[in-house]
Parts: sequence; structure tokens; C-alpha cells
Amino acid sequence: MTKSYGEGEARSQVLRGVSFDVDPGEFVALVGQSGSGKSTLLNIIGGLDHPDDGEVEVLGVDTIKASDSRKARLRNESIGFVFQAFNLLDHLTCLDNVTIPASFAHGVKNVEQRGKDALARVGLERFGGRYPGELSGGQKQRVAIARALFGAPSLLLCDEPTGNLDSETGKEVIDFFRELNEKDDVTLVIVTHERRVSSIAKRVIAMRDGMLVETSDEALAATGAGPS
Amino acid sequence: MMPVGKLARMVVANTARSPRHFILSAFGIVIGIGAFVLFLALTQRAGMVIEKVFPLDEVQVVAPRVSVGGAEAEQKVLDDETVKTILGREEVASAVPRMSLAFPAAGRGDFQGTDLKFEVGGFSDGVAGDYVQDDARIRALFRDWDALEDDDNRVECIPPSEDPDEDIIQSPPAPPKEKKVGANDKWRDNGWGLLIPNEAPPPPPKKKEDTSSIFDEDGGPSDAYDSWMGKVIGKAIPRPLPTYDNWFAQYAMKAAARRKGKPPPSKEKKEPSYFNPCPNPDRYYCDEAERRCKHRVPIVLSSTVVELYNNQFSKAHNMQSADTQFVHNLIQQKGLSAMRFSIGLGFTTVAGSTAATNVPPRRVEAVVIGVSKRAMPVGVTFPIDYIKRWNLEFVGEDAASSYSSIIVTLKDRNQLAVFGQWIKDQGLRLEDSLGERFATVIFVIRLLFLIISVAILVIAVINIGHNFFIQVSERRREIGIMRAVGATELDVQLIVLGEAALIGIVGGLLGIALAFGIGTGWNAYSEASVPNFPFKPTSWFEWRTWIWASALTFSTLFCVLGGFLPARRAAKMEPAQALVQN
Repeated sequence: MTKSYGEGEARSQVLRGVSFDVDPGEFVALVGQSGSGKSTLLNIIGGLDHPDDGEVEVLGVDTIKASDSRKARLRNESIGFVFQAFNLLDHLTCLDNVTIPASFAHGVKNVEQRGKDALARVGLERFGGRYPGELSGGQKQRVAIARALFGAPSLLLCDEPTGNLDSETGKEVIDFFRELNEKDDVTLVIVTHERRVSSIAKRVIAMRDGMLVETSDEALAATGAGPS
Repeated sequence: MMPVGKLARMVVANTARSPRHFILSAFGIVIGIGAFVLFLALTQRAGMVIEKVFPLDEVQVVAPRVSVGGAEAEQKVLDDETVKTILGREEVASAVPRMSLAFPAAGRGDFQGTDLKFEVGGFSDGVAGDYVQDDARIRALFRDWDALEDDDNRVECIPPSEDPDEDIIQSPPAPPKEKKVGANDKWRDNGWGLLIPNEAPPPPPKKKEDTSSIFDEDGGPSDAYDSWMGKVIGKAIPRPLPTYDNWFAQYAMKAAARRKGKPPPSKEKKEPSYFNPCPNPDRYYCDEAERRCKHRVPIVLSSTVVELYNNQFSKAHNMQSADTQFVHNLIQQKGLSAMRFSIGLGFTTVAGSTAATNVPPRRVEAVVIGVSKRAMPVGVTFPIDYIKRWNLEFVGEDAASSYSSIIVTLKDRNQLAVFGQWIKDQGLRLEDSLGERFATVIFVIRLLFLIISVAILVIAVINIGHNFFIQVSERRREIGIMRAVGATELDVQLIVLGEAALIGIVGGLLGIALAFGIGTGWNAYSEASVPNFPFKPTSWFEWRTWIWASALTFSTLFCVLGGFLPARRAAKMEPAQALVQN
């Protein structure tokens, strides 16, 4: 697929013909320099953005041809997002943040219990009534992960999930991802700068200037995506 | 689309989250809707008052008054032929002729203990009896009683004579006393200032009574008069009548005193009673000219007259004020005689008036039988037969056959233009209806008010749109997150529109409350501090359900309209872009 932003002179090609497959249950790390198109690629996979050209099929859904509501349902039921900036809603409690996907779904039962379970899963069962402002960065990211897990997704898309965390907390989060991948068989696509993340990934996809370069561990040094 | 219950909960929560935004957005709506409701309720009430004062479903055809070189040119006459022609038109439902009294007349009556004198001549109209049908009493009594062939109540009687102190000015001046009116005339002076028919005196009433002595040589009442009258009253009137300070009673006592050459007896100090020798005295009186009991002339008043009475007479004379219900109740409680008064046909209260009549003046008694919306707005309304007869008697054939106007009811008001043109072609014209003009003014005012409140609303809507644009861009990230967790474009749009609608509903309710508050306050102020004027309402506003409903609908609709573009922008936002913001 290809993707560019801007018009005329300011037009910049972000993706220049990227093509790859991810099998169910894979743990893929997307690495590359800033501006290499990693995040754009991740957003396109999640249906938050659309390519100019090409084909995208996610969990059996052609997200280019699918209607807005079909894509929304896919995100609601099968895809979890984790962002670098956590993206929690500050006016909602942690529990409400976790259960917000239920607001857009029909016939979801035991919303509160499931929200609490998701929080327990990330070790924050006692933080349900707190507001994001009262939490540390690591705790916020765990709430965000709990939200991503609320719908029991089969695909988890993470954009620099440890970027705003200290290395200790980052390690906890990464361990949790590995556990998710191994125990729950969740497919993981993680955009990262960190070698620590890419080292535990089963597959590494490196990008440069909007193109896939290598998928080997050795190539990482060349792309500058080494340990930060 | 997300479930409605969850949508509603989210909308309420979002609105509660930013009260500042809510107040800024709702303020204009509250003011706009407040004005909208207040204006509508006010003009609605004004329209209703006008419909009460002027029947709007009728038009009046009149003959144009053309004046050529200062003199009235020959005038088109409205007669029975005209009525027939108008009735022949297919758009006409009914055509009722009206005839004005063509000569001066003065009224005098006792209204709740106060002696009132008033001019009737220019203010008397006759219409067909079956045109005035407001209630059962009016239906039963508003008719030409003199036309009844065999009225058992129409017995002969001796009328009390004229009060020489009467200050009604005769027009034309009464013939000098003692001077006999010409032999060919129908009238002669009886020497007591009373004109009686110049025929053989009527046979004395009822053989049983020896009444020959109640006349003296001059034809005036003799000493026996009072005792005879007393007997008659004793028989005919089972209960004491309400006091009535009119010339009948005054005369009887003054005449007696004059005959005896001594001042009026101390009896006069007591409230004189009204002598009525007739059977069924509530409705019949002894007519001076015919010396026969006749039914009082039934008249109806308009509510305008009642209002004028309230604001002119009742204030000036310090009397109780009346309303339509009051007149009704008074008649029911005290009987018709509570509303009777006398009409001096050919008399006038206006000094120096010289309108000539064919016959000398005479008096009749009339009775107000009710308040009718069909009565002419200012004046008294008679069954037309009386007016025709009197015009013929006092003025002549022409006056008795030409109508002052023809009241036309159209089958469909929309045909007014067609009918108006036809009337023009006939050399006639439609009377400029005061009601129509008022209705137009009210319509224009209402339109103006509506434009003002709509202008306020439009500004409010622009303001809402502006506020929502700001809010939507402030909430980019939030919208992006919602999209990421499964909100559709429609969901996002509905959330924003829902918030706008909530502002509309709450703002509309507050606006209605504001209008109601101001209205109630103004009514209280008006009650306490605004001076009375005709048709001053107890409430200035007509609160109608349709006004509430349309206010709420408008405010919601306008707010949704204001939120539409921001909502669309929010929905069309690329979620990836929205999230990148941070």
C-alpha cells in the first residue's frame, strides 16, 4: 500500500509500497526511524487511517471497502489499541475508561464486572474508582492496556507503548505483552524504538522512508532502531 | 449506531462536564425562546380581544357617500332589492340588513339607583330578530312584540302623565300648551304637556272599576287617580317593584301636590315607587300614546357598550362595574325590569338640535335583554321592525325602506376579494372594518415580533455553532479515542447533535419559564398599577399549549441546526489525525 500526506509542494510520501502478512498469534515488532511510516502503517491496519492505494485485510475484513460501521465494529470487538500517550479520558474513572468500548456495542453484558476483570488483569483492581490524573505513567498505560483488553481482542496494536515509561515500568509492560501473546494467543503488532521490545518479538519488520527494508535482527543496527 | 440509552447517558454526562460551554450556548436560546413565547402569547391574546370586539367573519356593505361640490350627490340606496341581489351571489351565506334610527331620540333610565340620560338617536340600529341569537333569553325576547296579533297582555291602561320638570329638550320644540294641534293631526295636547292621539279617548278601562273620576275636566289625573292606581298596582303587581326614579313616579306625586295647591306630601321623601298598571309588569308597560299595555321594546347591547359603561359611566357615577356575566346575572336575579329604560322618540338631550320630525315626540319603554356579539359595537340594537315603524312614523317612507348597511357573511372568507370587486361594480362599497384593520395591525405586529425573536434565535444558533466548533476541536483527542474503541462516524455525530439538542431542550424550557415569569409579573403589575381602559384584560397573555410546544420544538430544532456543521466536522475527522494531536 501507499500513503502520502499534504498537497502539491508540501506533499510527502509516507508509505511507498509496503506489503506484508501477519499470521494469527504472531508477535511482530515494527521498527524504524521517526517518520519512516511505522505509526501510519499501524493506524491503517487498525482502520484509523486509510491508504491512498493498495489492499488491506484485517481479520478477514477488507478495511478499505468495508463500511464505516463495519470497521468500527471490528475495532470494537476484535482490535485493541495501546498508544504512547495512553489516551485515557481524564474526566472518566479508570473503570469507565476501561469499559468505554461497551458504550458503542449492543448487547454487552456484565460490563462492570468485565471492566474490573480487565483491571485485575493488569494488577489495578483497586484503582477502578480513581481518575487517570491520580495515576503514574505506568499505571495509566496499564489502564490503557486494560481498555484494549476489555473486548477480548484477537489483535493488539501498540504504538510505542513504552515510549513514555521508565525502563523498569517498560519492562513490566513488555513482559505483560509477551504473556498475552503466549498464553492468550493474542496477535501483537508493536511499533517501537526499543531493542528490548524487538528482541522478544518473534518477527521484526524494519522500515525506512516508507518502505520495508529487512526483517532480520542484524538490519536493526543499520536502521538506527537500536537500544535507545 | 450506538444504543440510544448509552447515547443519552453520554450526552448528559458530556453536557454536565462543561457547564461554561452550556451556559454560553444556552443563553441566547433562553432569551430568544423567551421572547418568542412572550410575543406569541401576547399577540394571541390581542387577537382574541379583537375577535371579541369585532366579529371578523362578517363584512358590511354600505352605500358610498359621494359629495360633489359640498353637497351630497344622489346616493345609491340599500333596499330590499339590494339585499335580494346580494343573497343571489353564490359566495354569500347570509345578508342581513341594518337600519339606523333616522331621527333624534333620548334615553333615560335608572341604572342601579342612578338616573342616566343618554342620546340614542345616532346610536340605534335595527337588525332582523333571528340574526341575534346569543342565548335562550335573547332568542325568546328579541322580536317585534307589537306585531303579535293577539297579545292578552295588551290591555287598556291609564298612563302616568309627563313630568313638567323633565329636562329632556324636545326637538322640535313642543307646541305651546293650550294650543290645539291641527284637526287633521293625529295628536293633541292633553293640557298636561302630554300628547295623546287626536281620536276619541279610549274607553275607560274595565267596568268593574269606577274609573270615570280619575280624569278631571282637563283630562289630567284626578284625586281618585292615586287610589285607583294603588288598586291596580295592588292587583297587578304581587310584590313591591324596585324603586325607579323616573318621571312617571315623580309626576304622579308632583301633579297631586299641584292639584291640592300645597307642597308635595312628605310621602315623596320616601322612595317613590314605579307605577305600572300592566299585567306581567316585568315585560309590559303602559304606553302613553296608545293608553294600552305594550311589551317593552327589546334591545341588546354589545360587550363594547358594557366596557364603555364600565370605564365612563360607572366611574363617573361611582357605580358598580359590569361585565357580560353581570348583566346576565342582574336580569336573572332582579328580572327584566332591572334593565328597563325609557326612550323619548323625537326627544334629544342635545340642545339646539333641530332635526324635524313629522309627528310630535312620544315615549316608549325599552328593556335590555342581554349582551350580544351581534349587537352594533357602540349603541343599542333593536329588532328592525321597530326602527322601520318609527322611521316611517317620524320621518317617512324613504327612511323606512333604506338600510344603513347590509351585514354579509361569506361562505368562505377567501372569496372576500371577489365579493368586494362585485360590490364595487354595483356602485356600493365594503365598510372599512375596524376589526379587519385591527386584525391586520395585530398580524403585522405579530410578524414583527416573530421576526425579532427569530433573529435572536438565529444569532443564538450561530453562537451555538461557533461554541460547538470550538468544543469539537478541543475534544479532538476524545473523539479520536472513541473512534478507536468502536464509535462510528454516526455515533460521533449523534453525540454532538445530542448535546446541542439537550441545550435546545433545557434552553427552551428555561426560555418558556422566563416568558411565563415575565408574563405573570407583568399581569400582577398591570393589575396593580396600570389604569383601567376598555377591554383591559385580566391576563395580557394567552398561554396556549401550541405555543409551548412550538417553542420547545423550535429551540431544539434551532440548536440541532447550530450543532450540525460542528457535528459533521467531528464525525469526518480522521481518527488517526485526531489522536496525533497529542
